[in-house]
Amino acid sequence: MYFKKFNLKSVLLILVLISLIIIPILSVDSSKFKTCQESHFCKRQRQTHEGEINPMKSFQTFNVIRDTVKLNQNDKTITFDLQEKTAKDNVLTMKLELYENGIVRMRAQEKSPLANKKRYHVNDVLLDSIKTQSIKWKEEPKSSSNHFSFIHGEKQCCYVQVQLEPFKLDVYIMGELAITTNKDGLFHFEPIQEKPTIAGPENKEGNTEENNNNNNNNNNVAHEGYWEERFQSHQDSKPNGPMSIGMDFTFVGSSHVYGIPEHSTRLSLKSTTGNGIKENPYRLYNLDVFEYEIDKTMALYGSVPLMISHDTKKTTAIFWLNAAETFVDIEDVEGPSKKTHWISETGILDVFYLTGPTPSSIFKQYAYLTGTTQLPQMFSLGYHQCKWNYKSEDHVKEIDAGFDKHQIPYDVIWLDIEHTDGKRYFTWDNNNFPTPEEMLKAIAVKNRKMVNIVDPHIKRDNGYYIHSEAQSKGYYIKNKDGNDYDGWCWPGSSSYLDFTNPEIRDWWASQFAYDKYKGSAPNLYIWNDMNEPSVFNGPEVSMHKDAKHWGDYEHRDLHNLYGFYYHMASADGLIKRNPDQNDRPFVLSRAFFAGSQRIGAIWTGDNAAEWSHLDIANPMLLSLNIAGITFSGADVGGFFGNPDAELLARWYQAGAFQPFFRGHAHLDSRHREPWLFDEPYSSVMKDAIITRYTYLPLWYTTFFENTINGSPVINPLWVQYPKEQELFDIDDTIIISNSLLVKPVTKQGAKSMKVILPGKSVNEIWYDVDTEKPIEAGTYEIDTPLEKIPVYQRGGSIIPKKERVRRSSAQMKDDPFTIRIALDKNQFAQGQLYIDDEHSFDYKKGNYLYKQFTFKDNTLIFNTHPESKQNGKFTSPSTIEKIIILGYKQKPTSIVSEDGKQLSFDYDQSLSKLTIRKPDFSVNSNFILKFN
Amino acid sequence: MRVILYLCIIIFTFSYSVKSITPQYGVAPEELEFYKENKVFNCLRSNKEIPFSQVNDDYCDCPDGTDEPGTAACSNGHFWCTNKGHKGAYIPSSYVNDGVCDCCDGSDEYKSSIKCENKCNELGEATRKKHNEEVERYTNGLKKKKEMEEEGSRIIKEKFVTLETLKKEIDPIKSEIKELEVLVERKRSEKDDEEKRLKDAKDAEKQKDTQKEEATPTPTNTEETVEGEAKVGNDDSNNNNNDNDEDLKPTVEEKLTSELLETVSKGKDNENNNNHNNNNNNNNNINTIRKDNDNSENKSILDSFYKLIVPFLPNSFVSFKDMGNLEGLENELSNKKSSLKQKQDEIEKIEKVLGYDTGVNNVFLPLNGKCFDFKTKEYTYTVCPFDKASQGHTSLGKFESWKDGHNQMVFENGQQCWGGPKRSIKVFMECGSENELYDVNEPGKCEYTIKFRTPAMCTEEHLKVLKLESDHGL
Repeated sequence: MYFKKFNLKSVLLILVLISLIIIPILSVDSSKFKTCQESHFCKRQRQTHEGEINPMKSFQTFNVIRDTVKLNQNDKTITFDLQEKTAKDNVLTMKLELYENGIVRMRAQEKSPLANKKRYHVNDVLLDSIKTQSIKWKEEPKSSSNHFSFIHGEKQCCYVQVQLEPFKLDVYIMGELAITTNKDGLFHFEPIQEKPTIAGPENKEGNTEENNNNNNNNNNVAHEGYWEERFQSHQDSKPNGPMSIGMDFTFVGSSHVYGIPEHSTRLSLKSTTGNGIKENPYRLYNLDVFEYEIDKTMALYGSVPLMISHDTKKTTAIFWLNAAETFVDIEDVEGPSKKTHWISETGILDVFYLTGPTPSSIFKQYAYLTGTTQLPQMFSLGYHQCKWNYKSEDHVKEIDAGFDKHQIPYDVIWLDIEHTDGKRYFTWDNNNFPTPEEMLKAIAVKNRKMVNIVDPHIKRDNGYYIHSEAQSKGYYIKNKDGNDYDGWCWPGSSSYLDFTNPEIRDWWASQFAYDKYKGSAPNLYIWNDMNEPSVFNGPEVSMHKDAKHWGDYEHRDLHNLYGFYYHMASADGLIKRNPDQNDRPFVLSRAFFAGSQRIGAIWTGDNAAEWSHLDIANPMLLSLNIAGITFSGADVGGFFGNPDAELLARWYQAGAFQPFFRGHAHLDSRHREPWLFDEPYSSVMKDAIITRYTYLPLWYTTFFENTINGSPVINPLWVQYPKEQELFDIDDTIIISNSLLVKPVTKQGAKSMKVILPGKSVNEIWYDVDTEKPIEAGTYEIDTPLEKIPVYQRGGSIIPKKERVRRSSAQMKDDPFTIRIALDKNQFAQGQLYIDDEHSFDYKKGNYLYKQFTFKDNTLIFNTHPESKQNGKFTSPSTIEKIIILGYKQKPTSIVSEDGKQLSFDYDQSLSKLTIRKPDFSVNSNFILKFN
Repeated sequence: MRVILYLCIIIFTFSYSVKSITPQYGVAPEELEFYKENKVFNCLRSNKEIPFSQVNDDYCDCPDGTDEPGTAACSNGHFWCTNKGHKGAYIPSSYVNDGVCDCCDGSDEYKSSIKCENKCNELGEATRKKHNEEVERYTNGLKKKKEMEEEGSRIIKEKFVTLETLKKEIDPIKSEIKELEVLVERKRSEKDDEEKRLKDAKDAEKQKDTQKEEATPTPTNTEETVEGEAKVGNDDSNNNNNDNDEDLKPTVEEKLTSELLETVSKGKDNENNNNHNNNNNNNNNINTIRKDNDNSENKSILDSFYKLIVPFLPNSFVSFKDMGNLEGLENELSNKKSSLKQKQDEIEKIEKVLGYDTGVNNVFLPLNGKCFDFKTKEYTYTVCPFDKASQGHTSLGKFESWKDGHNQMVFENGQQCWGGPKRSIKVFMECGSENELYDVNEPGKCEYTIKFRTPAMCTEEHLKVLKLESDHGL
């Protein structure tokens, strides 16, 4: 929402904005944001490009101090010291650990840090539940040997070999070298130092910066930007001096790397260096990027420093736990292997090696560390209608009525910043929203919800209770001089609460109490925007890095965590506002970090009404999904601009099969509620939304399964078919759970399209869900008239649906299920169904039903899933009203239940389709059906 | 009955074979005949036959959804709310047993988590009241509509008369202009000749004693006169130099001009146009000046006086002296021309209005020339039908056309929107007992809509429909 215009009243403010901010941003775009070359720590560390020498590059060689190597069994750690070869006082201490599930952790920091300066350790991202495992030597450190190795105490997942001089660490999986560390000697660790008391020549050089690039005085150049740095008009005081870290990791034998969202590039990460490639390294630094462009490695709103490597033999990953500005270079090297170079501005060196070796085990391992997606409330999987801005209570009423009039289901209507009194969050514009309780009550009748925006910037207005309280309690982030940080955002002059402080998070959470947030109600949920944080007049439209946080850390140390903590505090507020604390929160956030999946939903920010943005939505969402952020979506229609009816219709079709499904539009965009278009477009949009609702049981079950195994909700093809090399670059096709393949049309005027149906290696069959015809795995050119959403059910899967679509998801809660069974070549199929109360935390106590359908040997078995921990307390009034079996070869003579009841059915020979009419089994009990 | 129904529900919820309603439940009276007990049931709008036992059995068999009038099984079906005391109505089948009371008699929630009260009487009362109000609004509107039609006819007659008059007036003015143009042309060439002659003479004299002439400075007061306007100054000096010549010429042309001017000004006086005050003044001035000119003995005194006061006079007064001279004629010509233009514009304007679609019996015509305001918290919106629309001082466009019959009046090409289109507004016309604007919206950036209630939109037919509704449905 960066380019939001102010209230029409405030013509003057608009003018100020235009002159101060908008015009420069409109014209500059990517130049507004730093590249590696413009960030001194990155410039100092980055590899030379082919044939070019980086004068900034300072090489360090670290050796293990042999007699410090220690295996501490109680602590389950191996520790040793490292010493830089040419700067003997640069001594680090390194700690190696093994975690359950095949995870190796490596940490390093100064052995004797300065008393007054410290490195930031990322807290609150890893789960408290993670446990180290006992370690055994594989090869004990000996004076005769330059290396030692160790292994898991119990399981034979992998082993780690450490080379002493120079330091190297190799992770072996299934007996083979999988990930190397410091193979290319890019291990870099700038020890914290005191600022030289006399202004040396390097200080002056620092001021004049770039001009000296070509200066051969390497000494001066190398110290450039150590103690201060400038970007455009912004000064960074850098009181702690240089303290950046870096390391290289090579994924041996790897052909593809994925992850490190959020970028607007394809799912398979591109090489940024080597072989003549001169791309900027991928950057992780949460930023409010106005009108982002496609296929750029520049940073976007959120960061997950997880990179997954995949080849036909194995899947592995690196999780670089660091919240400072980070750059990642990727290079194709011999092997073929993928060499990666990670550079962070501050923080300790903290690396997790996820040893896989399959995609599903990677997701399990990563979820073990950072958690799974919080199970969304059912309503939040329905359709969300947003616009900047629904302007008044009447407007809300009109939109709500519009959906009913056109018989389009929806669950949530959203209010953007204009609903507030002058962008003072937790308040209402009394003119346009005089009776919010009434408004919320009116939509609650149909069980619909509302989401209000609440941003982290606080208007500096003494009459605003949030501000006056925050200010008097000293809750704001401080600038480098120790005063409240004051930046420009929607309300004008604003300050930012320091959410890294748990006390302040608690205080913030308390603001959501019904008696504090006047006009709120239980069916009001929250949207967190601008939490990178966005500061209109700050460097790169964000906060000054020398701003001060709780614990005397600088903003630079934890920048990428700010949005995460803010999101966390808001979600906590929604839990605590209810006396029973038993309503799962829904908070959508734009900024995120590793672990944000535990808190709430994420969307891909301010996209545009262009075909290219529709096209990149699935690759971006896949990238988020494999990095744990499964509950994610892209604004349907594109935030900026005006989509034509075709683009919008195609976007609804795509969005209906993405985890978070919200239509949104800019203040200046024309209204685009689905009924406002000519036919056939409006009907196509409506049908897409209805289709979404019929698949809600599949979505809900899939999200539940993520809470068990951390699996993506939408998968790239290679995750499901890890051996099929030709799928490794495919990112325009998704598979929901392991059963429903979707390739939305994302090209204008497409009359036909190529679809790859994977699984050749396993003789997969797919069923077109529209025609119900079977298709063998392979590549096909299919017709794509406007109404066509190419969706295929995998043979061998069983999908639960609810085909009675109502006004909102809550009204479908007790409706009966339709079960769609698609048989594979062996006449086998299996699928799951998860049911609970759709909104509370009771499922955590086992109050749910987790069932399994298995069709095998002409028998359909419906029983409790083996992994279910259900306690039997939850029952559902729902029944199964219809069972459809596709690929059933021959008409059965009878279908009989256990108690001898004959079921009526219908058989369509031409489609090999068997429909069982009204079995009416309760989902609470198990059943067996015999097909004769 | 209800108790039994609930008992059934309880029993059947446990056994999961729900048959808690009759096959006729949710069927509208006019379709009841198709739902009589029988062996089979024919789907109403698709070619399928099913056992009658499958009607309302909570499973959708008919592709058209007609086998489940009383359940939510068919997504494309509908349910008839009897709504005794109010109006019967269809609701989508998906509203049945969804926890929301949609029928005012609560009949849609017979197996639901909520209990619906019967609100039909109460609602029926309110609806009838509202309906009556609407009937009244229509009745009043139709009365006013007659008045508007009468006014429309009156206006159109007036317009035609005015148009006729204006057209008649145009020709005389045109011929006057022609004559004036001839005269001006002649005067101009005469003046040119005179100037040339003088110049030649001067040149000759100059050649005689160049030195002397150069030593003599031009009189200072002449230069001061020049200060006001260059042209006036020049004329003055010319006049000074040519005093003698002019005196010698009590010319025919001058007399002719004066007479002509008199007739012209008389013609002007005949015009009933108050806007021409300025021109009338000029005419008077010219008359006065003409008298002065006759008084040739006083001329030199007047000249000196004139020279003195000229710098302090507004420009229009400068023509005083040039009565009957080129400048006066030119002024007159331009006056005539602007008067012609004015009349032509007037004609064009009337013809434009006459060209508009002003509805049957010109019922919309009385709206022409009127403006209507609607105040919101932020702005005052003004719509002048057939002319223009604005938001405060910002133009929302000029009248472009009707759209959708007389249902929309479209105004376009208003003030350019920053980063958007030129502003425009669509005025949705509705029947009302008064002319009034209400409910402004901005569905697209700088694309506005507003509603306009006017008696002109009321129709007898609709009133009949409304009355029929009160006789039957309510």
